Amino acid sequence: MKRALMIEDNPDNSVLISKLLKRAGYQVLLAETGEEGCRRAVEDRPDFVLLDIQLPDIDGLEVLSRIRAETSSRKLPVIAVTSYAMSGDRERMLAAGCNGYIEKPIDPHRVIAQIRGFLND
Amino acid sequence: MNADIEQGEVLVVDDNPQNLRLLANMLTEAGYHVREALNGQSALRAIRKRRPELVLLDILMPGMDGYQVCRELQADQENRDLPVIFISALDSPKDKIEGFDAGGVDYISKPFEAPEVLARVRTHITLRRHAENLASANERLKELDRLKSMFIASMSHELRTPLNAIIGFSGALLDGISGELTEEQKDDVGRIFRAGKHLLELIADVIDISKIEANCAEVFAKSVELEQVVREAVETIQPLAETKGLSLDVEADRWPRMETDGRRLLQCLLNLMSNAVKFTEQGGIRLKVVTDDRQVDLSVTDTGIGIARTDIPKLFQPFERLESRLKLKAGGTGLGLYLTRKTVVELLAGSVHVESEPGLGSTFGFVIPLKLNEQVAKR
Repeated sequence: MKRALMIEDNPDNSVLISKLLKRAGYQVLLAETGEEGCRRAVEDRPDFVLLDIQLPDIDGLEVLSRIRAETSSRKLPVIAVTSYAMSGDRERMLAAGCNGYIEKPIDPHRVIAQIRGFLND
Repeated sequence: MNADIEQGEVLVVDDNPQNLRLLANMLTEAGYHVREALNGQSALRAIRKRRPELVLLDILMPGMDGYQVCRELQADQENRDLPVIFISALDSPKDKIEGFDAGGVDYISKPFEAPEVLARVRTHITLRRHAENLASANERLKELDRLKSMFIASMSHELRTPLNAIIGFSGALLDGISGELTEEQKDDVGRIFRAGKHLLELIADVIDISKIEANCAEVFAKSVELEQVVREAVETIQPLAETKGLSLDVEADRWPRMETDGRRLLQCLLNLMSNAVKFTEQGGIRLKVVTDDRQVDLSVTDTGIGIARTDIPKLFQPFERLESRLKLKAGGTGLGLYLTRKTVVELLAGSVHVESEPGLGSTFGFVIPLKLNEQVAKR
């Protein structure tokens, strides 16, 4: 069973995405802060990361660069999840090395297919 | 004029000490604070040291004459708008014209009448003060308007967070994530889901508009294949057209590679195409692409209800849908064309066009440059 690490501080979002992921057969690990997410990305060896851009402690770009800086997680697929398409978040995250990008509010009908697409799953 | 009111500070410049005294006394008596200068050079020094509200300037003076003083002031960013009244024994029209050309606001001939001098001084000081008040009020309004737009943009952003839960969970319920729903439950939850989506569209439009109005919309100009953008738009709109039994055709003389903000371009195109579908009951939609070496014209023609000529200017106003009957039927945010025009004009450096014939259909389009210039892109 593939394991997803979700770095997300908003419980509404994490509950929803976990439900959808679990139903699709993924195991879900949750980190509620950027710091915790960086740690678990290395220690818990997830298969991919769903990364919220706005986190309470450090922002998504910083989390991404820390994950990329660790040898063991350098190639870990990271999918950014952010709330506004026109703000430039998308361009910034893709330029910074995210494997994919999902807009919030997530579309519950499509989100699993989007994730699989980015993971070539 | 009421003596209590601050009359202002006047610099009087005259090389004749007697004239200087006379003018100075007259103005002092009328309540002005008066400074004096006996030649052009010292007048300029006095002005640069502390700017008066008005200068009463003699023309014929040894060394630098009055015209020269005035031209110097005109060349000086800080004092360009300082009102200068010439006061001179030269009284031919040619002299007066030269005075105005040099930048003077008025011209008094010597020998002068005291009431005339006072009236003109008062008038020009008042005018100057009004102009300054208007300019600063205008600046303040612009800033307030920008802050208003910023506020709306950030507020709207916050509104999205709870919507994530409303749309996400209602959608997941519809998908049966917590068990199968009855038909009635599906219908009810479907209403929540669709209302959430509608609210989301509204908020997205409001955020886009406010950001453009606050001058903080980001534009990402990149290499874009127009054919790809059009294909994406067609793929999105095709199902809507099919539901209504409308044809959807694309006609292009060629497909250029562009350097522009592809997402914004797609957004504008989607907007015009979905409008066309909304307001057309039979026939079809045609997207026509005409490219020359500098720009591309994308226009969407429908066989819909059309718009009366007098109603066309209203189309680009926010929340202006021409008939409430249509509003109900058409859905949408009422902000689409307003946002599209703002995006095309202010972010993509283009222009929009509309032609319509009631009962026959409409063509909505926009013309944008193939290469979005760097300066525009960085605003």
